[in-house]
Amino acid sequence: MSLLQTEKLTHKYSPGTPFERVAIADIDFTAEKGECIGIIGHTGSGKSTFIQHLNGLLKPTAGRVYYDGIDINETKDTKIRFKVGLVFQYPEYQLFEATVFDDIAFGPKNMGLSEDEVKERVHEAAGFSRLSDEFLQKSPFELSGGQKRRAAIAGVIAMMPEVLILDEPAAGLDPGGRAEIIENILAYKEAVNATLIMVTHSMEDIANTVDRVILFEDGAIAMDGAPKDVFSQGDRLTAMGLAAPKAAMVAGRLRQMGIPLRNDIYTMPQLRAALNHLKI
Amino acid sequence: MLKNITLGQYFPGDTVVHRLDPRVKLVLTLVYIVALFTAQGVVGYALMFTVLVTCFALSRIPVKTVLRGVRPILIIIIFTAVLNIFFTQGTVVFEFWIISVTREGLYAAAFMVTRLFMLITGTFLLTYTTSPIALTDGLELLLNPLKKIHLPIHELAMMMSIALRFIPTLIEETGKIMQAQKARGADFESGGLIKRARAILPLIIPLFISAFRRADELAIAMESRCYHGGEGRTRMRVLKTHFRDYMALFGGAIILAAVIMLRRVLP
Repeated sequence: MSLLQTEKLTHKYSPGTPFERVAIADIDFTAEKGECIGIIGHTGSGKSTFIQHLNGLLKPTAGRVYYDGIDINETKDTKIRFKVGLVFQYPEYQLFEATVFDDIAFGPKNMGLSEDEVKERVHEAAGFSRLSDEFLQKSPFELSGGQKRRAAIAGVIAMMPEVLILDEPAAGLDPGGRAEIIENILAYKEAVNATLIMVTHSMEDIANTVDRVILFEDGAIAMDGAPKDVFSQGDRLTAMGLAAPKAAMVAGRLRQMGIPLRNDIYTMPQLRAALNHLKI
Repeated sequence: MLKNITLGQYFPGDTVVHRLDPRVKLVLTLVYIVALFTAQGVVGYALMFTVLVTCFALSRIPVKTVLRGVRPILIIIIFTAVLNIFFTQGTVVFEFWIISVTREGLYAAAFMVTRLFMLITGTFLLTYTTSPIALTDGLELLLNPLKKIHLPIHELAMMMSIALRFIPTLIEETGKIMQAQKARGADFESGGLIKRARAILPLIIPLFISAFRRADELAIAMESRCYHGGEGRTRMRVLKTHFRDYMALFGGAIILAAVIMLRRVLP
């Protein structure tokens, strides 16, 4: 059995009122240990609703969610929230403690760890997020936007989750900040062989990092496959209001113009290498 | 937990009641309250009840929604009933230990409960069928004469519409922060009073910060669009009274007259 699995997962908002809306319908999904998955989709395609089911924050209207073979909505064990760590969009809005240290310690403390263990976790998580000891003693409200974001992500990493899910981790940051955040997350993933799920509508963010792409449309999974297979279908992506990564689009146009390029190019380094190999 | 707040929530629709001028609806609600407290005896209450049911039927608000709105104040209604049953003097119909129930007590309780219930559902009808913006617009126009004595009516109405406008936003925000803290293992639902009060800190602090941030942003956005208070401000939606509004006012007047008449005829 897979590490994380959903079966016919369906969620309706405000059922039984005039505002009833089906957010996701009949989703079958699996994730293995150590996988790195990117979930893309339009605003309102149900991707944020979907990930909130994976650690039991939302209860399904129908269907099941399994973690390690256990139905998380049947068991009384709330540890699932520590095993599947979820970082929301704009996580800096959840900071509340007097110091960054205390804020990162919030999760580990809730796990019931001893003071020494909490301390160790905080320093470990701060290491992944590249937050120095000096930062840990500051108030979260003295930090810059990117630093706040890193502190908030460290707050979830400190729980050492087996599965780390992030909703738009790089939204609203400058390019330098974006790259740094993605780097921090990957460092954690590599260190503990965690499963990583990143939700985004920016293809560029995930093109270089993930090994599987899932595309949500209207509350259902429209595509699921290796990045090269998903990104090579530029027309279908455009029809859904999404854009393929720039490298894939450039390669597509060049192919149309008769230049023999393979159709599995979707990052700039791949494109550069392919163009260098062309004999003109 | 946060889904159950429908106390006076707008229920969109396109019925005669929805389309009435908000000023007329405000006046009619006042008339309704006066009539309700004037009404006496079974006939008077029956008349008011008919009026209430007719209005709800016209506005097509589901009975379920109405009953859900009453739930939060059920305790007050029950408390009123109990007080009336046990503490009214009169002919005793039932006695046990130090408790005695009187015929007058039972009557008083029945009337009080009916009156409270109708008062609440009746005023709910106003907020169910009128959007908060229309409501504050109506209120501002009705209170306009008070500007003569230098009461800041426009500013008060603006504060009210901003407050109303941000209630759903803040509820949504509360939900989001709650989910985020729950994802870090926060527990809002179990434990004693002190533990729960402490558990709410991770929710309240980010919520306050975000409320102040929003207030700040809104103030700047309003100023950059040259908002400078009510003076010389014109409206985008000018309220116009239609034939149906005069009919509704006329109907209200007749019902009030009928209730007063009934009081005289059937004391």
